[in-house]
Amino acid sequence: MRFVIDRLIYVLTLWLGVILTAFVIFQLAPNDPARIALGPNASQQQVEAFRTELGLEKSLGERLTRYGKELAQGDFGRSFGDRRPVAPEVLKRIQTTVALALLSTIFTLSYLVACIMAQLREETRLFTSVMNFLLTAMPTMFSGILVILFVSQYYPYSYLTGSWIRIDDWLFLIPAALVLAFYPMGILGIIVEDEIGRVNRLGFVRAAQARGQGPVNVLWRHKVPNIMVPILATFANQLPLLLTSTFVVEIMFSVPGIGTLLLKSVLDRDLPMLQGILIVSASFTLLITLAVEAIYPLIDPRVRQ
Amino acid sequence: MRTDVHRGKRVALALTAAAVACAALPLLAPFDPLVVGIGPRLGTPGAFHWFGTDELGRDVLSRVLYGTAATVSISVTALFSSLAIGVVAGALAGYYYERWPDRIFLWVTDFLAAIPFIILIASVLSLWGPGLIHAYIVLTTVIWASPARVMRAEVIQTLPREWVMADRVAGLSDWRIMTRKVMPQCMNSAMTFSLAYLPDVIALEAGLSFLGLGLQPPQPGLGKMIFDGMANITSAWWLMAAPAAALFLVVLAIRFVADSWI
Repeated sequence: MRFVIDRLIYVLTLWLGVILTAFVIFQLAPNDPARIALGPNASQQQVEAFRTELGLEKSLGERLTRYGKELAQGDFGRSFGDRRPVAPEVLKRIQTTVALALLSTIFTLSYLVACIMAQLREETRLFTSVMNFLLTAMPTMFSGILVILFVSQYYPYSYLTGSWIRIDDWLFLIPAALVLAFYPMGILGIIVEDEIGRVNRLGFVRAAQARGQGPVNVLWRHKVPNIMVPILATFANQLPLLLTSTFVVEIMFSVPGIGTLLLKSVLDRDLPMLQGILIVSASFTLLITLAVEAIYPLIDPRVRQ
Repeated sequence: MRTDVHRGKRVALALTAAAVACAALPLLAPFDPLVVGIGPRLGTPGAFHWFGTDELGRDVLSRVLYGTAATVSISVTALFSSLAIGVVAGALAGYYYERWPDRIFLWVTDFLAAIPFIILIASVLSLWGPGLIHAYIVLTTVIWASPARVMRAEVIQTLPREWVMADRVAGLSDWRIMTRKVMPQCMNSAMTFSLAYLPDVIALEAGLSFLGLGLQPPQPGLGKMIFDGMANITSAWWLMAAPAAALFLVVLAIRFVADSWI
């Protein structure tokens, strides 16, 4: 229990660090945010007025208090682009991104199960080995283009209706989720291969075989529980990079998630929106990290002590 | 994976060779990648323009070669710099295991893992202005944490070994043991890891370029070419396919070297 509380406090400091970083990045920018927002054609008075509205005239301490207060109320400011509040837009977009990530996690997990089963026979093991190599050798941009060129034209579901109850929306996400899953599939597949190879040499596997247990039983009861920790650790390590490919995939398949919003905000130099995206995505990553850490004691009894 | 002492040197050699080979790619370019109207607009691939021409009549093959050179050289230099930072930071953290430098190190690396790289980089670059140097600096600041963690873990495992004890007994100073004995040993792992990490760095760089934050037009960047090619996906598939294939070949080559030679 003590450990759990320590851990939560630690993650809380990380989260505060993220919020502070978002503040620092946007406050200490060498370029004037008001000038960025209004463009080069705005008059000096307009820029001054906007600076006052954003509170840039005040001291750094006052700005930080105001920033903290607004965040505590769930107010991320207004977009420079269309002057709408940032928070609802980011929250709406992140639903789509989470749905996409969820779907691709399901694909990854199914592949992982197939990969583990394939370890039973030498031919299938070799096959998955080659598959894993190819999957990790393909950058997301490359596999995305392959799917767009050869599959998307014939794929009937080409837009998002926005209601997750309907199956159409999930069907629309399938090609994108599949492309997104390719790289983690390969990486985790390689880990499965390596770790099963490592576990195969250990005594308890031989002991289980000697007791006359079937290969499937030995695999799932004795080997798989022992390779779960490295798999989970690899998955957690991949997270920050995984988000990069998520955004690329979203833009390629025009999925209206955080990635497309990020692209738009970068093009418009929409600072409040970027700030909102930064904070919300980092919060999600931290939550996932916490969830992963909570799984460790479930799969490895040694961690419980 | 073979475990001999020269592994780190081989990785360094492979990385340098890759960087030099890619920097030399522009020499193969048949045309100037920036000259507009060298061929027809959206010309199909053929004997004269192997990968066709783009919407301004520029030769796509030349642009892909220049773009690959830029992507790989930025990625490899950023990787080398992050490796230098990571080795020092990781060794310090490993030496001061569970004392305050280690705690600070863990906090910072956890913090970097919490922020999605691409968003951080995109935010910084859209404020500071995009460009090659800025992309390199920001890329290095976010990616050093992974090699550093590998280095730290390796140092923590190495320090209690008998041969380190023997050096202590022989009266070598901690500084000498760390810099002359432990760090060279542990760097092998960090180097090997960094080669496996390179595809991720390249993907990150291409992602930056994809968002328009890498090399600025008219200079060709692989990600940017793919992004621009999406506008003509139905009429001119080669605009998108050529840079994507180049990216694939680069990553494939790295994976082959990492799997078979290192």
